[in-house]
Amino acid sequence: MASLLAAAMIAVFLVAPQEASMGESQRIVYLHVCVAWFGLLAFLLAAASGGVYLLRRNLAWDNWAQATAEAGWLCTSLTLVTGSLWAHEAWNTWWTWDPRLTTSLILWTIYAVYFVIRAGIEEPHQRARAGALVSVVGAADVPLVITATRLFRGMHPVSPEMEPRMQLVLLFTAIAFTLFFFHLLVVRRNQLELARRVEAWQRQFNPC
Amino acid sequence: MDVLVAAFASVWVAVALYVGWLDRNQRRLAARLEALSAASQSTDGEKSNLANAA
Repeated sequence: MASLLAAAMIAVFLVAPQEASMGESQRIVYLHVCVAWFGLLAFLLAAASGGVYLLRRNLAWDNWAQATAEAGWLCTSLTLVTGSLWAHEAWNTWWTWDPRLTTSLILWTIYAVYFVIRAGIEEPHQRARAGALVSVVGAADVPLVITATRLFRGMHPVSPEMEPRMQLVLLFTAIAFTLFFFHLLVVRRNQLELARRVEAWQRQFNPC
Repeated sequence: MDVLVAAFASVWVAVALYVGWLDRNQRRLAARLEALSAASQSTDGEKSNLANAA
């Protein structure tokens, strides 16, 4: 996995040509697009897992929901940071209330609330139910993030034209990051599952 | 150029912190599991102590 990510970074700096108008700073786009894509995908998966939990009441699905929401929140945070850095070069401002930026910030906030709510509930099923409701409702913002620029005519670029080598590097980087973050969320999901079993086992010894 | 370095550094530092946190969690869970496993093989009195310690 590490070598795949290293290859992606080498491709970003050595294979992708320098863009004419923004120069080296344009390479931020390769990271920004990858984390943004996985952030949105993860929130949809968290909502789907939360939805399945609500139907089946099986805590294993809550573990998937929590693991994907964590990965999604990490990626959305990085989307906002890298986007802000790119905006400083492209638009000469760190932040603007562009529709896509605003909807992305709303999504980030919804999932911050998701973790705050979960942290405040002790009982596992209550916690899972509350988390599932927030993630299912919050996922409604994902299509808005995707379509915001077209719907509200924002200034955020919509699939800008790239030369074939740039497209190839972007695709390769996106695949590498997707596999890496999937690996992380599977590790986290396994950890949550193990923690749940350890807690159940511990309660057998010490019911109080 | 500074902005490019800041973007790449922020992503890799955040990822490293998350991976480090996952690793710490894994070790803590392994230690708890070991303590519980020892408790399950000990006497009743010791069980409670070990479970509390875990």
